[in-house]
Amino acid sequence: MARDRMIVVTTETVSGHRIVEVLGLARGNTIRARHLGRDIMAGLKSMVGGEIKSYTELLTKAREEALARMLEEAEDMGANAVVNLRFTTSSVMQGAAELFAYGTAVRMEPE
Amino acid sequence: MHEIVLILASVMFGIPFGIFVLVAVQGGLRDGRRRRFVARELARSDVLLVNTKGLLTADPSHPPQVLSATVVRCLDDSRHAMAIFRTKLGGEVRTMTRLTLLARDEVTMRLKELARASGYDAVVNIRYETSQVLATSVEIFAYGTGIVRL
Repeated sequence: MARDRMIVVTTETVSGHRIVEVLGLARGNTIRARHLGRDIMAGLKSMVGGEIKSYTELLTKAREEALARMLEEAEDMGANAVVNLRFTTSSVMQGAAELFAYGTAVRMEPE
Repeated sequence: MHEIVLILASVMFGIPFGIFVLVAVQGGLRDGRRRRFVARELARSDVLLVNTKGLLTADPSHPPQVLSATVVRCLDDSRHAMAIFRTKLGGEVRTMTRLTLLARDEVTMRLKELARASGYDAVVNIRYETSQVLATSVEIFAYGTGIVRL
């Protein structure tokens, strides 16, 4: 997986590493819909409150997918690290959520 | 008598359906052309886009400036129907993913064009915002700071 080969951080620099080339923005997104069966369970759950585990799991998986797509794009640009990673989540239609990850693709060398 | 009813029915339903299909096909072709054009423009490396603050050093003799671009896109009716069907089943809504991808590429390209037109060669600290304007449409807003690199 690209994740294991790459340094991915939310900061702009990594200590002990020098950025040799800035390659540009890398982006990845996915839009996930909920499951009707899970919807019914979530509806019941919202009567009592608390964590909706199936949705937590769904969004975690979707966010992983967006991150993987971003890393793929970064790899295609020839990067070995992504700095300043940001996640955004938004609702783009009824019953679906968009997960979007973006960061700056760079080439790094240990100092 | 029956023939007349049949002909009338096929005209009444056939023409609107034909228009529906033609419009969807035309929209698909137009989007494909636009996607290829935008991808080509994005691949040009004259303006560097990053979302960091400090990686690139700006030339102090050129004042930086906020640059922003926005685009609102919507799905055609048939793909929207598919998307709604998908929200009942669960899983990835591919038509919407493709729509936001295209919109985000478009807005990134506009930001790049704006930077080039304003005489900058890099846009730093880029941020993306996504919002829903109508039930079937997506707004993507991108903003950043245009600088001239040292």
